[in-house]
Amino acid sequence: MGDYFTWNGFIHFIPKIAAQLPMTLLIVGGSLAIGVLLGLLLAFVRVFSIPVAKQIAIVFTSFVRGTPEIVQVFIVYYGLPLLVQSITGVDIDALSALYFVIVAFGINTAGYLAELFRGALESVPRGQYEAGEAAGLTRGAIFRRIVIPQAAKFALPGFGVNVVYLFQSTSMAAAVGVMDMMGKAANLGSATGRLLQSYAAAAVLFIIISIVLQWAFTLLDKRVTFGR
Amino acid sequence: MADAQVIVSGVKKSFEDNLVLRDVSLSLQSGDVVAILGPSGSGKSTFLRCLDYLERADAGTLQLGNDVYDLHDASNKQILEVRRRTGFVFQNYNLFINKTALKNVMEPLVCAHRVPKEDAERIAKEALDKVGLSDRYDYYPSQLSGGQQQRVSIARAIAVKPEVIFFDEPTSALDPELIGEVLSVMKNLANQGITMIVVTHEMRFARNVATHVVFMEGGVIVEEGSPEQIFEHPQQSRTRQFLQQIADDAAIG
Repeated sequence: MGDYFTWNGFIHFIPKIAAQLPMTLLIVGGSLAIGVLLGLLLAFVRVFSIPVAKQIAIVFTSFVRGTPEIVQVFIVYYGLPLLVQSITGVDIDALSALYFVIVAFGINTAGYLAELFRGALESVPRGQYEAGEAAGLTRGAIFRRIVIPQAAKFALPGFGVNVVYLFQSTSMAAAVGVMDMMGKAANLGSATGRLLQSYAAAAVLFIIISIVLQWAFTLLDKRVTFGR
Repeated sequence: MADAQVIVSGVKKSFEDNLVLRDVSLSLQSGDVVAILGPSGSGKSTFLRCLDYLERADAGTLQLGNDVYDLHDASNKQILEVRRRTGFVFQNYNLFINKTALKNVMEPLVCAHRVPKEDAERIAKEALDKVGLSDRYDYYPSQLSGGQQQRVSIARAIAVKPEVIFFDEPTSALDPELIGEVLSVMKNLANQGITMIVVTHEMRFARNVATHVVFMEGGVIVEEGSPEQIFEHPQQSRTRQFLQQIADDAAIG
């Protein structure tokens, strides 16, 4: 065992892996931005039952939810350059893997958030819309000021779960060579021959950060109560 | 009725094959309080909702002052205009659950009537004071009783100084002991000369506060007149039956 794992080496690895936390958070932040915007768009398409777009949204979400994430990462990483080149003629193959990973996780997150957002929007009672209408608010104002804040509150716990899940999923970015925490752990492990030691160190970091994220969302959820 | 403030004429509405409103017309002077009575399913709520475009009538017009609005065919701009010139109080209050009492009352002022925030806050506080809730500005709807919520919703309606306020069974969702506080607020409004159309089951309110009583059934106005005419000398047998039924139910209860 001594050859594969020492507590000393384990502790020694932790700061080295933690140094790549900014890269992991960059993937999380970038994918969340795409996921929230695209997820909202898909949710509204479903809520308003927009023809054609609605069917596309349904197919999109079932694809995202029905295929393994690692497959999605590979499809985007290998497929997106081909797609972009055939449409626009621009060669993006040389771009950093980071961009493709952010797009892949962004799409995946959108698929899950779309359903969450749709459920949240549909949970706002009809009477809230009517009260806004009777008050002479425009449709946009009703959504901005009444419906979306209420739906956001409803979606918040599920959103937190999705963020924690996304954070852990980013570990798959290493499969296409992104040097995030997981990439660093794999590198250290193979360079030193102490794979267990480096993956254990990564596990500890993932656990700590996941707990902090969960705690932050629980706190936020308790603060937004509308008096309940 | 040359100086009538609110004239509704020829409102028709059906849901699929079900004819709910056959041809309903109504005329109010400024300061009138019209009570609409009738058994459930008589179309009285639908009638009120058509006036605010919450349901789209098949035909009919609403005249406010000198402006006539088509209740079937109206632009978004006209619909907003009608809604901004009128108030609506719902059976289930429908307060914005993400906003405090004060913000609920401010919302139409700020967002629909473009009143500056500071003025809106002052007006909203005055309105809440009027309905006896000066100690509840910062309470969320979930922290208020049904009666208090309904009073906030009345404050929300009066704050914008509408030309007429529509009340859709404002006390029907309330526990019996909370009905009085809402009715007394409405009575105050009536005494201040606010024009109101009230769909209600509260016979005493209709009798003592209303200036005009309408009895509806089967999508038409069966009979209308002063409270005295309707309650003391109803001409139609259906009106008599309905009032008798209510009286019997009250005796049993």
